[in-house]
Amino acid sequence: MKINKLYILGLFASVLLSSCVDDINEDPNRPTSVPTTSLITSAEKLLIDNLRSEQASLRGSMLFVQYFSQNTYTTQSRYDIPFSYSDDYWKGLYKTLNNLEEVVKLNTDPLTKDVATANGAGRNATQIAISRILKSYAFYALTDVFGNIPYQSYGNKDEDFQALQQNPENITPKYASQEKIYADILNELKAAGDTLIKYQSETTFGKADIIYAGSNQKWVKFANSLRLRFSTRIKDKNQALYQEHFQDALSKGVFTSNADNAAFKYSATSPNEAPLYRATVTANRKDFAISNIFVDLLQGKNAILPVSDPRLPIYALPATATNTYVGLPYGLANDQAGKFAATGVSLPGAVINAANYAEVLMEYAEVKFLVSEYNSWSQADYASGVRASLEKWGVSADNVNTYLESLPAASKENVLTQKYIALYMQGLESWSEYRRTGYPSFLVKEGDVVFQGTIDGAGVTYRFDPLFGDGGVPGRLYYPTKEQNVNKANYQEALSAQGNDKIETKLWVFKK
Amino acid sequence: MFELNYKKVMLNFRKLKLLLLFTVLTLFVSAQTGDIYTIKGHVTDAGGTDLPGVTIQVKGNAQSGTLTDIDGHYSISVKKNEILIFSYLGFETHQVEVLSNKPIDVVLKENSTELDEVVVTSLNIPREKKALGYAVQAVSGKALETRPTNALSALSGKISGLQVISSGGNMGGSSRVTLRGINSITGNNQPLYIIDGVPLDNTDMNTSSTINGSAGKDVGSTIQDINPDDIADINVLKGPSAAALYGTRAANGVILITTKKGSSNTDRLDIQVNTGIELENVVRLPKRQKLYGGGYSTSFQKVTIDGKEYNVVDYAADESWGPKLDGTPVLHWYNLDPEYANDYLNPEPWVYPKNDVTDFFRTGVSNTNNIAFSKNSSSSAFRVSFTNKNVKGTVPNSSLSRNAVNISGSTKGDLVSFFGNVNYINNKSTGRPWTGASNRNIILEAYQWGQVQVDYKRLSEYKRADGTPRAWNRTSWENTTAAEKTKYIDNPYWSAYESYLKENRDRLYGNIGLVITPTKWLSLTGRINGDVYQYNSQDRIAYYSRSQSMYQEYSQKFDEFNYEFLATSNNRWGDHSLIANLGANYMRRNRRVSDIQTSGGLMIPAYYSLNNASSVIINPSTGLYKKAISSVYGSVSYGWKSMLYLDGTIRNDWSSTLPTDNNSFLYPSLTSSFVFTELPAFKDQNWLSFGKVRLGWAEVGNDTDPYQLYKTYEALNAFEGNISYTLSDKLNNPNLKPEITSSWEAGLQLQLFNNLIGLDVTYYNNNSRNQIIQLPTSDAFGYSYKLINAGKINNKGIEATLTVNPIRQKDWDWTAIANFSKNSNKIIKLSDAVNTLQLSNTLVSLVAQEGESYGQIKGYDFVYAPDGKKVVNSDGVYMRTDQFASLGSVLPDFLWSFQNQLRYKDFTFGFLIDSRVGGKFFSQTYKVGMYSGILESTAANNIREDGIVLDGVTGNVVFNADGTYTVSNTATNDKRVTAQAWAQNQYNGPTAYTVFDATFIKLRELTLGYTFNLPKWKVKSINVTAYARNLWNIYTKSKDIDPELTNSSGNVQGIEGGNLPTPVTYGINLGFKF
Repeated sequence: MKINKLYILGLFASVLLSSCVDDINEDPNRPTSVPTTSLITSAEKLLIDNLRSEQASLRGSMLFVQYFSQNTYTTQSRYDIPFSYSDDYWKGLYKTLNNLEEVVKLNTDPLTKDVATANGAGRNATQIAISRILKSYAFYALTDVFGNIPYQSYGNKDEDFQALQQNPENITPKYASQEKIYADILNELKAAGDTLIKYQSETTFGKADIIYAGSNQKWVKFANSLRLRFSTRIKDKNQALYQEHFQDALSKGVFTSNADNAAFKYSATSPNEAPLYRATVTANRKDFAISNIFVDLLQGKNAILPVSDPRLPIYALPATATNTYVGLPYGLANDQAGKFAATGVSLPGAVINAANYAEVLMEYAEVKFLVSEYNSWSQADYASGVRASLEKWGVSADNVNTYLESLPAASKENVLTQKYIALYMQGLESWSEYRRTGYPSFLVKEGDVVFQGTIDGAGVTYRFDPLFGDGGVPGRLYYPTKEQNVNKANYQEALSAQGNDKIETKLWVFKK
Repeated sequence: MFELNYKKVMLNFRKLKLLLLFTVLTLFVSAQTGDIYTIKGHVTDAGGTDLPGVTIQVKGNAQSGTLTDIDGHYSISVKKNEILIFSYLGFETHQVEVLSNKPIDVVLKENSTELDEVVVTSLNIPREKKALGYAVQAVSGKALETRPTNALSALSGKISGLQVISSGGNMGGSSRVTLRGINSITGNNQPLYIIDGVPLDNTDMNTSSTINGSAGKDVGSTIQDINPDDIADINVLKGPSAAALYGTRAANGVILITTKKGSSNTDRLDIQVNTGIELENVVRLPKRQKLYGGGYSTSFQKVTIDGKEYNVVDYAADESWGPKLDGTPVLHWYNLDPEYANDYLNPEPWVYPKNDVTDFFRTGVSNTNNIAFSKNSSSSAFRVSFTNKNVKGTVPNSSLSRNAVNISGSTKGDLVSFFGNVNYINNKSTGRPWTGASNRNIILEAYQWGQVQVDYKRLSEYKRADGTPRAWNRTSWENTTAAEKTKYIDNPYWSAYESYLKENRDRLYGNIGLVITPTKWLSLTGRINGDVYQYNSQDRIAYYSRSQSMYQEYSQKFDEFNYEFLATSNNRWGDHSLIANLGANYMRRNRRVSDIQTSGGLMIPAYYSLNNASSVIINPSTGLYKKAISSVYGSVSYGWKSMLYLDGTIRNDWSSTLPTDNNSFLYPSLTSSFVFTELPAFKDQNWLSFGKVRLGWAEVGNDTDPYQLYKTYEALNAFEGNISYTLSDKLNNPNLKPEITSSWEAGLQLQLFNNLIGLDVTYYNNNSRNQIIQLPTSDAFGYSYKLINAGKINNKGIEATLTVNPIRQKDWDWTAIANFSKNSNKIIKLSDAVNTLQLSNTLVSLVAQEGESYGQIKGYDFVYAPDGKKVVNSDGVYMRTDQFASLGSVLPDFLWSFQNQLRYKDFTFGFLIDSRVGGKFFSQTYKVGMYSGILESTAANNIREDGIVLDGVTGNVVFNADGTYTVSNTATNDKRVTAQAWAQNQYNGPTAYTVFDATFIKLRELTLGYTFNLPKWKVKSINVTAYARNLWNIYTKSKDIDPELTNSSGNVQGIEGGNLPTPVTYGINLGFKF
């Protein structure tokens, strides 16, 4: 009897006490549901922020292809790449992917899919399709930098594809081969484009889509244009796949003018300014000069292209000391670079250094160069490509015509050199194309003279002396150190598949 | 010698709180022969304090006896010529023969052994130390006489098993205290602080980047608000057994602090005045080379200005690989400002400066004044104390001021008594020093980067009339705005005086309560404990600084209230005693954070407001965080004779932070103590005065932070009017369970040869299960962290304290105490999916790995040939491994300390040697200081002139995918490399270069005191104490960087990111008693 009473009392107390602590654990500071439009804005920004980050782009690929040259702390131009660059780039892009995958989930889950379409956000199907295109782009940005990576596909449940797997959870995803990834990206882009083409006249995400303001039609063209890029990349490895995707993409519609270009225009308002602006103006630094390799080329000093290029005044500023265009010798050691004051060399041009610069994901000129390559380096497509690039940068019609008149005829080297010039500021794609084709052919390698002249009254010769790698342009970046700590078995499996975790290791897609 | 003080406080404590009640065991023995008197009297201690509960027995008659009442009065019937024995815990037994029926007032003398010491245990219940089945160690407030700004740093070396890692410095930075190693992998490992029964918040106010050592300012944790002048004593309950009743927050032990209360019961006002002054010097800075100046190359640039040719320095370089400091006349940075006509274009020699960076540091001065009034009467006690502290820091423009008021009082009645205690503290600081890769950190500005020839006296004129900075690190030599701009490193004086942090914290904590004693054996206590503070800080980067100008306002409003009820009954039947407690507590805590900063730079120079920018950023921590815990608990303590004691506790908590269906957790403890010297067999041993074994087992549960269960989205700044949300980096977990730490401990306490030697040894074994861990995952999972319940961590170790008291005479007293502790830590299991947990990956990788101890530094090792020689690469510098290797644990092998107290008449002298053996640390300052040619070794042994041939071999190295490698075809290296190549290899080559052994032996404290006793004066006594802290590094294994540093009170330890070394402090205190 007594025990019973105690028991009841205890039960009562327990209910009372636990109810005292209920209901106060709901986070008042963060929402538990948000519109998909708010996720797409952040995902697009995250994607471009990481793709064009100071670390991966300005101190990475923009140096590797020798558009830029460092005038201080020159170690990255000499291929000493801090590990944190890989950590941040990898983390940022997978975070982007997770947000894009969230958009897919909200449009798939029966509990949320109806809400997801509210307020003009567009159909579930088109929201998913656009997310798939952006995801493909993010995976491309990862695989071209590292090689084998954890990958995930909307349309293909291959058991090697283990990234972003949260139900059931897999916190140690395996790395998929680049061969599988490239094939799947092509299929994903095709499927997404095929969905969007059905609703071409509609819009998705509205103005929350910073790239195309929601135009399904433009997303179709973007998806197909990307298929040109990626199928070309594997043309020597899988000619059939190349043909299949290239033809199909062309038939369904690719970029037809610069108005179709996929670009993310940054904001003039802090903190949403463009990466180069933040790395130079906001951070108050002048670390990046235009390299002598690139300035010489644009000035027509390079025998390969002895024509002066009207894009030079857009790409670069004249040196403040002399008001002339002076490229900074590429890859100097710190003490050598110290001899070249920032005032004596050309820094990035005003357009590209603007706070609201539009970072390009892909543009019409590249499409034309890819088509020229497809058509055995056709002259017409090559010329259209060059014209498209000049027009995009705002070169006057007269100058465009003058330049086109003096343009050397289409050839593998000329097309790819023009593509290199056009891809300025798109460091990753330019680096990838260099690794695929070996063009431009004049990038400096270990031992090459980068400067010969008189400094402080003495004649000097500076040669390129990389700190890491095999002497040539890096083949990849190190995997993130975090992967060694938290996903070691899969990391090591990737190394045994692809080679040591060094920058000189050649990736599958770029192997000849 | 500190027990004296201690016991007084305990006495009051008992009286005030009435937690000890007495059952009068008086048996009236009927008179048989002779006169029978009823003797009354009053028992006090030497200071006049009433002693309640003193046992009074008639010699030879074990059946008779009584206890003094709450006011120390007694009454007993005895026959003439019988002898009364007064005995009381902690006091010497006193005998009086009854000659008449006059009252017999007795003054008991305190016992000098610690056998009968009373310590405060869980829920503020005082217990005889010998009754405890777990390790407790006490230090008196006197141990804090060196009065550090952060009171806890004075505990270093005084408690076995307690490790203090202090950032040092008078500005009250972090102090990390751990007991018995690290139990929680990613959670809190610091003990719970209870001050007069109030659990005190000890939030680490530092940002994660400060904790990781990458950049920030060490603002410390909030426990530094405790005023050392108000502390009467500190009891350290080391393990879960001791602390089980305190619940979730006590899994890492408890530090119980009792503040001073009114002392003697004389009805007169006691006044105590303490005043002290302290000087502090920055020492043990890394050594800089003095042979080569700034620049990247060894030749000067020549420029022609107004037709004259000058040598100019590479001002834009922030490295010291420049020309030899040979006296060549050059234009220094200060020879380029036309405003300074005397210096302008007036070349001066290229030499190491008269005033180098050490001139930047000034002598820190702090003065502390404390006045305390107390008054006690038989039914009430009251104390007020006021402390003012002003600190001038060691870096320019740094200061701290603190005002603390403590008021406590109590009144007691027959049925109801009241008590209350309020503390108010105001802390203000300006210009706290920076750590890590911040442009405002002097260590970065002068020891990691910089030009060694820069003269700091010149730098101190840091600003031009137009408000722009004069920087040595200017962009180039020309006399233009662009050229005058700071290139990378701000003038340190500019940083100190223009770009600084201001802080203010107002804090109020205390308790109020009442005790009802309906019957003699029962007391009911109700109390409310409150801890409320408001912290504000304003950070600024001035316009024209190197970095974009900025203003940030941070505030945190914190309040925690505990509503507590406790019923205590205390009974004794013959040889049996029983204390039972039943209690309940409801805790609620609110924390409101606001963190807003300007974006895009300030618009108007020297105006610091959030309005002064085109836009602001609201940092994501902004918001309200609420938490509540309900608890019920009970305990039973049984004692038999003075020999055997058994304690059991049980507690159940309900936490708001856990899922509703899994938020209740129950945990028990069981401890026992057996005083075997009470056995007849030991009774007649002379050599063994006291011996006790103890055994305890306990579990303590723990919850987590608020809002860890459900998926939420985080806001980013809107983009061109589009709202922008993202998933967080961390995946929350709706199925969290409470974590449980269980612990065994066994101990032995011996007093030998009439207390000449005392030994206390404890062995413990703790297991933490179901830990709530923020597990770093492969980012390819989509999230960077996942909250899981996993892991099993084992900590086992030994703590020992040996006390020797070889001289115990009236004039001479010498006590030596040695503490030793060894903790071994092992991660038994993390999770099914991963076996390595990454703790930090900012400056260096720090991980916890299954099968290893917590805190392994990971990085690139040297490559070793089969004969053990290091392999050099084709450039002639050491090759690094392809994958990470373990470079050592940051945990020490063991800690020891040696403390001495010597008294000769009124002189006292003491010192403390504190040591840590083993464990590694990573130094960013070393790594960067080598790269930039700053550190001494970059110019030692003619290395810059001759270069160096590294000791090693060349060979063909093949790295395998599993991280192993083979070296073949070795040959002795003969390639000579430049000093720069050698130094820079230490930066971008093997990480092992920058990992050092943290072993040290330090003379931590030195005190010398004298007390003037002035019985005829108004001032009763004056005490003078001179002291020094961190006086001497007797031995450090790492020669370049002081091993004793911390970046935070967090779990990321062993990473040095650019901290000011622990300073040396000298002080003198004057204490007056009226």
